[in-house]
Amino acid sequence: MEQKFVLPSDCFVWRKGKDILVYNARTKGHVEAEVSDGRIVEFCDKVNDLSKLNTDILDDADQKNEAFMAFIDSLVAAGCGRVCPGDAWVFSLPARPFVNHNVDRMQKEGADAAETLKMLETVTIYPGGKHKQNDWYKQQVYPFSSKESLKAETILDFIDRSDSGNAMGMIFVIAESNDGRLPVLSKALKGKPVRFTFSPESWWGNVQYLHNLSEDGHELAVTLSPCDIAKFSNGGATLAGEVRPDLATFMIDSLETMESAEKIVPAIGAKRQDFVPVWNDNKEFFEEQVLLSKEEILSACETKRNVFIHQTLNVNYWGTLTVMPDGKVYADVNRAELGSIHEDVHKLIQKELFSQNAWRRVRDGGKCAGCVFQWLCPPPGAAEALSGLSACNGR
Amino acid sequence: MVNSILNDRRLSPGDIEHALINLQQLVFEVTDACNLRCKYCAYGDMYFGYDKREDSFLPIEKGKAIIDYLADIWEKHTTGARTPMTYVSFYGGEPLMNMPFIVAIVDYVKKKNLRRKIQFAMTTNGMLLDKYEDFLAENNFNVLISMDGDEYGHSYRVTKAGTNSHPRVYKNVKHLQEKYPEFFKEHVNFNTVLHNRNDVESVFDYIMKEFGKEAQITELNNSNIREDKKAEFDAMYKNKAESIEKATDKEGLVNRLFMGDSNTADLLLFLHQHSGNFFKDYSDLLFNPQKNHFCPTGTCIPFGKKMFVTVNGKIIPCERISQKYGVGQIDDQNQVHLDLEEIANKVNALMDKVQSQCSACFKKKSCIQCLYYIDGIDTPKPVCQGHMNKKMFEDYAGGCMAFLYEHPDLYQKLMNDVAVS
Repeated sequence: MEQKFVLPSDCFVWRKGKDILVYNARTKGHVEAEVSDGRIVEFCDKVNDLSKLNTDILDDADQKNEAFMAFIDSLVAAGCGRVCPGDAWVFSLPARPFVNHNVDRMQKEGADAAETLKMLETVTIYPGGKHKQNDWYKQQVYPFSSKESLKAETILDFIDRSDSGNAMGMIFVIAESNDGRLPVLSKALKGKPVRFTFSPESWWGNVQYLHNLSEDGHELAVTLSPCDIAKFSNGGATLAGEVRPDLATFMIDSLETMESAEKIVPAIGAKRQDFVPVWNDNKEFFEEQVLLSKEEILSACETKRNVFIHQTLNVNYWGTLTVMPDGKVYADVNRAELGSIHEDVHKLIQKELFSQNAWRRVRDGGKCAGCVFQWLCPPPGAAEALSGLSACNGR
Repeated sequence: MVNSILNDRRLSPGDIEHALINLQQLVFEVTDACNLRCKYCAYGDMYFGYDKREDSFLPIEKGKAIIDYLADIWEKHTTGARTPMTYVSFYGGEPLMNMPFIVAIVDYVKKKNLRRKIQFAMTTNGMLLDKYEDFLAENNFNVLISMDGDEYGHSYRVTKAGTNSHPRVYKNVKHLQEKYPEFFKEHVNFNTVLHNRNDVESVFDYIMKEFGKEAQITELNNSNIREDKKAEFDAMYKNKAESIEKATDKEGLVNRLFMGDSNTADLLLFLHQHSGNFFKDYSDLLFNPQKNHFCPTGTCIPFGKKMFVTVNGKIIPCERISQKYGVGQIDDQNQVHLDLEEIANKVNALMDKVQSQCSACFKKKSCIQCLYYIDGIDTPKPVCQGHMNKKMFEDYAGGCMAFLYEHPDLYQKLMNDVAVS
């Protein structure tokens, strides 16, 4: 007698060649298999066919196919489906994201400037100035030395043109604490969601400026490179005591740096801490501490919506633009610029949206494209791009 | 699920201003005069709730005044990139009976920089098409012709003398088709009112066969029926879904109608709101919609879809609601009076009345019930006829899913191909 297999509406079936992963985003039940049985391959394709509404008919021949039925049984046991009589009125809605006003439609029908601007959530601005030279800005907000610098009025004009009234966040990355633009920016942006981020080097300086920023209601943050962490740890230094940072971000490149960072937390005196792994040619550290194992990926508790997000956009970059001291605007500072600070902001955003440069860069390239776990992994970020390692690096 | 969606949002003047900035359609009731006496006319003796018909004509200056008012808003709030589009539509009565107004407004709009694309549109009974077809074609009007099918199907649409208007309308439409074939192909459509002398299948086939067009089919307006005319209305009324059900080729008809089929339209709404797989835009995907706050009922924000200016200069959010719900006025000095705060307060007061029913309603997420159509909305305790308890919602959801089960191809088509605004 004919039977019908029904996949639950929260279930995904991913097949890459012989590798199959069936994953229930609600229960986290899953079946991973390597198959050579043609019927199993056909089954996977059928339940992924939207018009089949997550069902496949199991006929008499199927029911005699031991390998196939063992696979079906494993799905049922893992909570990834059920078997009913063939004529049962059962089906479910395939888990596939449909974004109605999507990039294709925007390209076809045009995109409204105001609607486009609303997508901009955060602008990070490097006003420029003297600072110790480094490349950390490629992974974290961290100041660097530049010959060019932006005028305060140029910055404020850009912010004014970027503002959709949607409470856009702003991050200023300050190279010099004696920067005369600080009081101007602080006063002009009073009451808006602004964070001023320093390195320890740029934090030490004009304490009055820090006071004023704080008094104007702005958030103060400090980011410490592995080198900064080592200095604090060895020298017993502290940040200026009168003004405390609201946030301290510690860039971690080894277990030793992690231990040091934990030790100096009181000396930094921040209200909140964040520890972020960074690439520093430290493959061993990444392999041991950062890269994900299959078990970690599977236990990451991804909901159906999170999987949809992974399939559609990149939360590491979505909604953000970075302006460099030379006025170039980036969605990802490790890739080509989108344009200049003087251009129409909505056009810069549309350029980004219509590419898959950063905001919509999903895990569909390289090794990941052939992996059944690709949509469970977190989206690709800066450390991954610089290191050339994927989230699991084939583990 | 029922308690996880908050319908405690209320309108602000800003919401209404936003709607005006993005106004999709400005509709003029250019006259309340008509050269037909259709038996089911919403301004006829079967209905109440509209201003008295006095064969009036909307003064040109009032039309210009509202255009100036909107132009001022659009000037202040221009956004730059995509050129927005607004339809300027002429409605009646029979709009072609006030041609001087239409000619003057078309000219005025064309000369004024409204910072948007303007598309002129008209709904007509077709009786005067032969006289004005050149003007309509030259100005690329979107023309919606009212035709209820073949001669018998059309027989409620009678002249003042009581004769069927079909022969003349048919002749005029054919002439337009022959004289301006490209314009006809691009800009002419048909609206059919369903009643006891026609049916969905025959009307759809007739309009397709005669004019190569898919007719929009609407049911008779079932609100504001006079008490003494209810029996007459009931005899005339035909339900669209039931008519489709009785079609000889039901499946073929459902496919041909697509969104014109109420089951398909219901399924679209259900899938969009309840599948968990549909997102209006990228923000909707990123943001947890459970935190959203909705307004009670499915009522459009005033001017969210259109603005209707009556022949008396009254401003109403939609021509489909009773004229007693006017929210503004163009006075005799041609001054536009629209108090956005007062409009928001008025609508919010009506929403307050149904808040508790809405809170307990299982269909609130996909509600399409218009406030102004709720029975007794003017009384202290209106009863929403769209309200659904758990059992009713389960039946409704079951109906949608049963329809999907019969038409599985619709899943991808509805989720992917239908653009929502």
